Amino acid sequence: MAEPLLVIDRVWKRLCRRHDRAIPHTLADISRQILNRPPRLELRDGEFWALRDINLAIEPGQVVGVIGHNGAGKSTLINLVTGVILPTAGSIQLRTPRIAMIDANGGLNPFETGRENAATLLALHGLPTAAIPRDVQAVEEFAGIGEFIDAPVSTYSLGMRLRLAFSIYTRLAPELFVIDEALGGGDHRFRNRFRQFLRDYVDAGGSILLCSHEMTLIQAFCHHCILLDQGRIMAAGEPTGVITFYQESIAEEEALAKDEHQGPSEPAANEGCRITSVNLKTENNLPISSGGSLLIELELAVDVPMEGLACSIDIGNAEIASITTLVYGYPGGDLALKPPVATICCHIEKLPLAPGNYNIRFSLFRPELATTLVSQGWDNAALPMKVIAQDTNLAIIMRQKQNFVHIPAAWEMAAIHSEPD
Amino acid sequence: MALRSKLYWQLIPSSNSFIKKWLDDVLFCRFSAYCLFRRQLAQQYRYSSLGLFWAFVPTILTAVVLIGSQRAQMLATSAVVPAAFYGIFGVALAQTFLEALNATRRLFIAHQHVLRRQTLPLDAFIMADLMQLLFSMLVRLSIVVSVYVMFSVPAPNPVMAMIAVLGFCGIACAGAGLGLLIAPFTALTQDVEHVSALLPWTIFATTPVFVPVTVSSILGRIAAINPLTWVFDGIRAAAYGGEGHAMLAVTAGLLGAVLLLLGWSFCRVARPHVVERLMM
Repeated sequence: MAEPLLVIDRVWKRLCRRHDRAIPHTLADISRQILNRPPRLELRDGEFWALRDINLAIEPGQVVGVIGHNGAGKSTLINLVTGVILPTAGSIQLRTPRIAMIDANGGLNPFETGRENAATLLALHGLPTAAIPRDVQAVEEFAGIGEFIDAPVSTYSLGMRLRLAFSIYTRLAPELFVIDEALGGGDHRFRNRFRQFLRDYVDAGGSILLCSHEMTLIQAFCHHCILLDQGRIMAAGEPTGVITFYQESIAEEEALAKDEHQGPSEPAANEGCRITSVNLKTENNLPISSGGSLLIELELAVDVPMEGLACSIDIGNAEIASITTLVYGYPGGDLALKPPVATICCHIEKLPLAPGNYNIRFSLFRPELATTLVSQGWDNAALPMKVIAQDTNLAIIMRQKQNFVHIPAAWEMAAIHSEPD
Repeated sequence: MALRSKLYWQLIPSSNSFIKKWLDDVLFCRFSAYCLFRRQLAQQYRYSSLGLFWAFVPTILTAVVLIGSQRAQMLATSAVVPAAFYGIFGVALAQTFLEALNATRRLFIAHQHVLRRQTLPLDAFIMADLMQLLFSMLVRLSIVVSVYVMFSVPAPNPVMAMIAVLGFCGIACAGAGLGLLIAPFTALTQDVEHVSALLPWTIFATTPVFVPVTVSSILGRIAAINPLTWVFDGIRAAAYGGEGHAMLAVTAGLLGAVLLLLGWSFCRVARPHVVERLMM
């Protein structure tokens, strides 16, 4: 088994969010370092744990993904790995000095031109002086930013900065590439180019620590993935599993936040009838799944015979109140209810929803008068519905693209015949 | 291969390894420091139509003002050299100290775009700054030499000239060292920035820069307890004779070097802690 390139062993890191404590804490830290005393494992005034008990190893040729919310500790972890800051406790051991870090800013000086930045950064990373003009030329060609190479970097767009930074750091031929959300601002051509570079780099035995919110990128490149939340590793392992866990936890958090916002459930409005139960049924009582069948069954207690009605079922989620509306009896008012109990069934053969948490709202109304007789979920709590994935890979793509609807389609490749001479 | 600790700053095992790492970094980044120096120099005058001319302007302007003042008999006379020469020499010394202090005290702020995300040797930036200071000092000394000729002041013997140059270097090192010692704090709080801008003028108000002060006056008594007065007088004594002790210029050179090394090592130790706070 190959010796790890990077070993992060029980690393803790505290950070201070109060500027007024910067000087006392810095002086205390510097004093302890000069006196060769390890920092105390306790939080001081204004501090918080940015990372807690992190363990991670990267082997040569391995790509490790780091995912998590903003503020979860991803950038702190990257700064510790690159050695920009020190851990409060634990150790980080790196077997190679050839490490390069690329992020949206790329360590570029905004007042220097692209060419000067390339020369300075290549020189600072220890490239031989004689080779720098040739390397700068290569950077210029690879970045493809034309005459902007001689303009100050402050005049560049984010995409141009990324292209320049990418072109510079790839010249360093690092053994470990640390990438912190570096693909966010680039255009499609740049992203494809960068992905191809990373693919070739990994095939050639390079290692990557990849930090991204782009789940498809993590899934496509990483051999191993960790999920950070509030400075802790919440999940680690094979990327698809960790990503699914992460996306489901986001959906649950959002649903919970929505429920808290809505408050406790209240009885539905009553205009001669009321909803007694709403049931979601599937074949063989399996969980509701994307592409599977679903029966929405509403049971109503009816006081008097009612005619000229219509009903609608709205399916929405935390972001969109109504992703789709299923309507029956509109505009003719074809629905009639008889006392004492009526059941309305809505059968969906192939549920075209992406995996996630949804809610269902129901309305019974008179189309002629445009009045609602009874509703569930508009002024009170909606019925929650969780849809799971039948196809995990498809689910990840749909979540990444923030899609809610999946249209099943049949694909085929048409053979192209060359025309006879 | 044994795992090599990346955290060379943490828990310094011994002073020997600290110094060895320091020397390794200095050797590693000597060429990159030179590249950085050239870029900084080009950048400094990029948007200036008169380019390097501005490097000479402060000293030339001082010379013009002082020569004019001398002709109008507005300056107190020095026993050894013309009053204008005394003033120009003093300004060259003061500028050397000030420029060094200001160049290095903003070390972390000026390079934070790189320091916040890259583990590049801090030494490259410090060395580039020192090269730039050396360049400015040479420009300034060339003007001082031309003022020697202009006022027909006899040139010192080679040993004394060397001592005077050593004194200039000592002043530059002292300014740079002091700047490096306060650089971490300048990055952490605006207060230090304001004090740093004010402090040099307070010091030079109590140092005989433009005209000699009489010992019996209040200013003279204050100047007498200011160490820079002794250093300035020492360098003047080596450069053209006078009341000071030339050996003080040598002492200034040595003390300046010590102060520079102290400030440099402090910045190396402080770097990760300061960068950590710059991120927040």
